[in-house]
Amino acid sequence: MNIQPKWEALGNSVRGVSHIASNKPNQDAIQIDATSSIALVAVSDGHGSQKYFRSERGSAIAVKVAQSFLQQCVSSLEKATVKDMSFMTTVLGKKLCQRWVDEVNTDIEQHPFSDLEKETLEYYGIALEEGFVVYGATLLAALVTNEYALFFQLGDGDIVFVSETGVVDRVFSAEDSLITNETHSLSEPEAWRYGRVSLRLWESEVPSLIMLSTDGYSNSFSSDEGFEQVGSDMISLIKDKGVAYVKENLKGWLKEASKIGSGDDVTVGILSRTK
Amino acid sequence: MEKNNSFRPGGDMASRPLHFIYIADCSGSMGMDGKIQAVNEAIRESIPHIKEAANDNPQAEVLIRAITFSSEARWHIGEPTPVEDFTWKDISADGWTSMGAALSLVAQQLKMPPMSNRALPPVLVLISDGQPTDDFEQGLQELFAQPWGVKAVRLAIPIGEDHNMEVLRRFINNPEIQPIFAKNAEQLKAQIKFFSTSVLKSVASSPSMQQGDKGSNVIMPDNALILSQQNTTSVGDVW
Repeated sequence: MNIQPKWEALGNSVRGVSHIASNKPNQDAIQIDATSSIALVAVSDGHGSQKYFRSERGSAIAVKVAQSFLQQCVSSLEKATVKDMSFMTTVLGKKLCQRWVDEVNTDIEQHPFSDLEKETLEYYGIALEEGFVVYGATLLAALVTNEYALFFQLGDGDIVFVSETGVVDRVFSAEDSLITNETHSLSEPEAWRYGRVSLRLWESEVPSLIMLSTDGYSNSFSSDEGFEQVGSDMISLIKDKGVAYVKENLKGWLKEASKIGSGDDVTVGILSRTK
Repeated sequence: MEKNNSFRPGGDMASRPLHFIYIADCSGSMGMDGKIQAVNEAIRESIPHIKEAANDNPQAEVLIRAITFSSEARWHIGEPTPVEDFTWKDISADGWTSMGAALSLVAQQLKMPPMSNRALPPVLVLISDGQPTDDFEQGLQELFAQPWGVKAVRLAIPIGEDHNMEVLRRFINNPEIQPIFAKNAEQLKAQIKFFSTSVLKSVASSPSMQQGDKGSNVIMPDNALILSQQNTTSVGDVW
């Protein structure tokens, strides 16, 4: 089947009301790109606690790595290789996590730890050569080509795709072991083991919308159903009012979510199919 | 450009539930030396402070309940009650110390459901002056069998001379948090206020942590004030 869908990318990230109150920065990050034949959305959530004192930099690096590494890597792979999930989970996941560590280590070289930061490392028992740990962040990425969509998730957050009729499907199920603000992280030992990879071939229906969000968004809804309703509502809004309308209003919706809901930073990235 | 539109996508939004559960010993010995009255007064007086802490942390919906235990354990206030509607009904003392049964009751309510994975860590405050007279191990085992039981912030206030510090330490199960002995009514009030406000604020604003990190993701507030008050108590004030 030769569908060759076209995508428009949009997204936004807002600082959580609790972070505003405590004078902390937005520790989420987002990267969107639908300018080439390989569209990409990546979001990341820096952990934000005292131990992870550079996590806003960690999340920013994560989404940039996702874009550069995934686009470059996937464009060079044969389709048969991409379909090999065992290979993708281990080799791609491993390389992606290592690339993040490498980029973080470069950042540390360019911005060495201050004496105060070194004291914090010592307090948490983190060796200087393992300073990348304090950049801890999650990573969710969707990479879409003419033939398939490749999803990667490490840590909490949500990736959903929505059919033309508004049926919402989750790419990965929630990890039951992750409750009470616990998450897997790019900075943990052998992080790649916790990365999840999924491939959707465009052999039948292509979704109308793919949405990635940090956990601050889904935690703002009273129920899972309420969160998933975002997907079908987005489809209706785009049909009725256009993508530009969603782009204009998204930031306000996310601010409202943080204010009424989780209080956390909230980030949403969307790929909307235009063809 | 950002617009303020009345319609937003998605269902109902709500702050994240923060369950706060008092687990109060009502055994016969609590009736001596005004201990049970002190518990009643301390919890009642803490309510305005909890409301204030909740107002300062709108991202958390504070829901309060209470279990009492004597010869048996039961829900004294079984419905998770929003802090703005919460009132304290006095408890009275009689019977044995079924602490294990009380923990079993808590464990049942920390299952998913009724708990949801979007909740904040529950706060469990155990107040006791004695030794468990039932199967404490069974209750503790049931509590720790629940993920939310493990992730809960478990606090304990030993009171009276016959309290069992070791049992309370095992309930807390976190070397970073120690039970702090309340020697008299004033110390009890100070501790309950501390747990109901400073600790609650820390839980409400707890950031993410990496799975496997040691300790709690809730940064416990400094309890130096509580400890200093403990050290300045005169002998005559002691229970």
